[in-house]
Amino acid sequence: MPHRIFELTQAHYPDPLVDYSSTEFVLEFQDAAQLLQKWRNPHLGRSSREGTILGLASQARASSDAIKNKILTTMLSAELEEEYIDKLNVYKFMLDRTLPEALELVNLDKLLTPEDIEEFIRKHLGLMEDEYGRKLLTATMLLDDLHEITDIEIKDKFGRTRRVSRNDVLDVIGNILGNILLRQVSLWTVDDVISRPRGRFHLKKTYRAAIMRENSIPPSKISHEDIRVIDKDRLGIIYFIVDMSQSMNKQVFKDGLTRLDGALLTALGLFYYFKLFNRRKRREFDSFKMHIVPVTKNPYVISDTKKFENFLFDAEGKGKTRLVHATNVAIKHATENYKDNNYDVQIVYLTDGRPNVPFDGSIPGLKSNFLKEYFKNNMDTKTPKAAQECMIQLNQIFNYLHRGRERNWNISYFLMAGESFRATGLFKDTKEMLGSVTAPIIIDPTEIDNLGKRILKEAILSDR
Amino acid sequence: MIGEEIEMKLDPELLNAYNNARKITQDLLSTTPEDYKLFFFLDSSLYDSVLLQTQATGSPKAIISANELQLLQQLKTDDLTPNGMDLFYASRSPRIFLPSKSYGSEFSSKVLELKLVHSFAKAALVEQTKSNFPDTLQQLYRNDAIISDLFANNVFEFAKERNAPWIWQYFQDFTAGTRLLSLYDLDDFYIPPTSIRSASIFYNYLLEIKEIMKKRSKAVIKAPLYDLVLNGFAEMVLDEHIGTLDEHVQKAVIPYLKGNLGQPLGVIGKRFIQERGENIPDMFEEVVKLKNDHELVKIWTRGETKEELEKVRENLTNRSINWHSSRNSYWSDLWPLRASVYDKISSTYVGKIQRRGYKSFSELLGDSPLVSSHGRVILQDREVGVFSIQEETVAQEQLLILRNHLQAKKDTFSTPLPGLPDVIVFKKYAGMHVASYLGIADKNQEQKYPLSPYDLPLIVRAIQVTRKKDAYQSDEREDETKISSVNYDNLEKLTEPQHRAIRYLIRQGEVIQ
Repeated sequence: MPHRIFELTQAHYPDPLVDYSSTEFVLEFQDAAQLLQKWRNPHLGRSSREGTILGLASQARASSDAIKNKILTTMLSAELEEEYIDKLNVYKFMLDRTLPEALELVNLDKLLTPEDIEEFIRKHLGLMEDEYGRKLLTATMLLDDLHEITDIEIKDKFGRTRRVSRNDVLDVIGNILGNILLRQVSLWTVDDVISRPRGRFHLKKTYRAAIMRENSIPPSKISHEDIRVIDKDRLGIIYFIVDMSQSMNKQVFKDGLTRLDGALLTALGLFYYFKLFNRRKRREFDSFKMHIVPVTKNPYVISDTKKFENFLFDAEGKGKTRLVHATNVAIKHATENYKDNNYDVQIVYLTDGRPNVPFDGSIPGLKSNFLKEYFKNNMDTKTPKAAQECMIQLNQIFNYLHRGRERNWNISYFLMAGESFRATGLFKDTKEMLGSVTAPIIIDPTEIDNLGKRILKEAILSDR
Repeated sequence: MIGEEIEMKLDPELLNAYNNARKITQDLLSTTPEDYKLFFFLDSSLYDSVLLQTQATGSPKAIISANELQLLQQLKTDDLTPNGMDLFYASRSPRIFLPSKSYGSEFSSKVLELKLVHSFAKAALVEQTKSNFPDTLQQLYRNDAIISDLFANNVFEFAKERNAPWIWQYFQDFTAGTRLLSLYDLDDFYIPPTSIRSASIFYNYLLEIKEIMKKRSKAVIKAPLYDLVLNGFAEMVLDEHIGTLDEHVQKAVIPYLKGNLGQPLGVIGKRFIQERGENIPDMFEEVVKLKNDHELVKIWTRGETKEELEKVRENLTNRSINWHSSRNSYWSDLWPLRASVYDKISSTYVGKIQRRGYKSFSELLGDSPLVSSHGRVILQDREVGVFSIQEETVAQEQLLILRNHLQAKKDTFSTPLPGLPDVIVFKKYAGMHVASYLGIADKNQEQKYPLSPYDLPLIVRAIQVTRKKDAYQSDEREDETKISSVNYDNLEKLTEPQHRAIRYLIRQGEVIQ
């Protein structure tokens, strides 16, 4: 009876559930942009939503089989046993009633977004709780899981599909686009720098001080006197003024992306960047407060984050471009709601640069003839009269804000267009309008890599 | 033999339990099994994996498709593995898998001892039985081991050489898909002829796998039904031994033997085996002669069986309360669960064997197939295959391989053969009945070189099959001519709602193009 004992290691006996196919699956910006398009047009994503339901179903079936097996063979505590029974009931209910109905509704295009699906399942599980006459912990837990619902199919470069959740995608957009755009938006949480080697270093300013002292790049050394530290954090309010006029529906980018898509992507990018920043800071209040002002017939301010997000997903372009009206609304909102001058205000324009409805009432600031003269001298400009009038008004407002001493107003002007737009008269006119306040930035979200380089270059040049 | 003999600090309690278990087996059966392998998993998560994998595929070496893999991994993450079960693989030199864990404090090693007795009883039976059940499982194991080795060696090199990480998943899905479909003789349409064996390592591998799979499937189909005999005998031996223990020991250990005792297969099998003799050695001699479950259960008529099994069921009611700690929901939820599994085996499994005289797995398989083909829809420019698949091995991505692995035209995998047609698959999940469609979007366009067989523009839809009249609204299409020339005559064994679902999906496929 030669019974012998061997020791086997993982190498001899590998885990049979090893996932051979799991190679790195990196979501790139391109993918994220395309996915966003899918969300914004729910009809494009129907098969993906059907897949979501199927995924839930096969998981529910596998789970309920496993639970049955487990209850019959494995020693469990009373609480665990009851929990599993609850789970079993929930899965049974889902498979028998909720999911078939959900799939039918998706087929008929009556559930258009993952939120719709989640809402539907939530309602159904509510019904189930009524039926049982008590709260089902499992149902609540299942709903929490649904938040992570992986509703979007993406493909890697070999064409294999994976499902990702919306948050994954938005993180990518925020991280990449937001990071790049931030170099243009001049909001920093830094109020001032002081030359005192204590506290947190402000590397950029320190480096610059060293350059100025030595007059050479790179500086040979950073001396004691160069060191700049951050004095205190300030708060920022951001207004996104999103052009939603008819003209924004034009498809100017690769893959059929419209100007509006580009504008929303840009807004989302910044929005998620700052949101991430707020989260990272972990203060009791947010460092950045964000608002959005859609350029519609009667512009209004959206401050609620949830509504904000929904707006970015649901927006569609129609009507004229009341850019001045929207600007006025934003300024009014800021001065009325944030009386404390400690707030810096950043106004971010996302537009195609074609305002066409002048403002009738009075606008802040002094009239200046400079831009009027410019248009007079440039008789051959193709910019229509109404647009010229708007630009003059905007110029007046910008100058007023720029000179204002009681608080910092910053303007960023993003133009949704391809690189060829740079050669047009409209671009020159816009540049003239913005004058010394800021420079217009052309954004093509599909050319994200080049965009990054260019903005970086321009930011360094203009930030002297 | 794998590994080297090493000096190990073995848990003395474990060794003690092992030796005791052998002694008990010797006393009860007057023999002990000699040729077996006992795997004792120190890492219980690895045990969970092996258990799930074996339950899903039927052998501990089989390769799982990516789809099923994800499901099983999710089960593991959610802690839903039924790991109170002991895994026993009844091949020649049977494999016994046990997780290392504590079964209560005082009697932990006693419980382990009893679990080992249970396994040794099975092993002894497998060693001496006249049935060819262990041979079949042995063949299964060997084939799967060969495939898994081929897989590991070929694919690793191949993926590295071509720098194409998708190859892992491809072969995984291919192997698992073939395993399922070849059971039903449905695998012929996507295997290249032997003439292209020399074309590349890719085809060589495919052909090898196919041949081995064919053998494996034959073995599975021929396998005798043997579960009642095996489980029933082990249950009887273990039960007999527990009867000799002190009352308080019995009380302490029985709850931990939930996975071994009182399982419907065991309980029912035991009832039949008890008729074979007075004491265990006698019964053992008799049971060894049994070749399949049919020989075991044919001693009674259906009527007698029903009567006897009803008594066993009542007895089970009294006993099974030991295995559940929740008293609130025992009668409303837990017992019905156990009873339903019991009834399924006593009426469906035993019933089929008794009434129709089933002896082998193939007969059972033919009765309720997991995969069946319903023929093809013939369109002007292509065909659409219609299947129903009640298995998680093959899902959308796996179908894509079957659909497509011969379509891709890059140097590395060019082929003269047409692939599988577009497919419609029916699948049932309890109250859900889904029809899904998988097609290629731009057939008319010149194919660009795809980077992998997955890299194709797809049309994928999934709809609920329903009786409702207004269920399938479709986007209208102006030129109906193309659609009207579809030939649905070759379809068979489908219900009315299924027919409507097929028509809707075909129409949708055309519209999207």
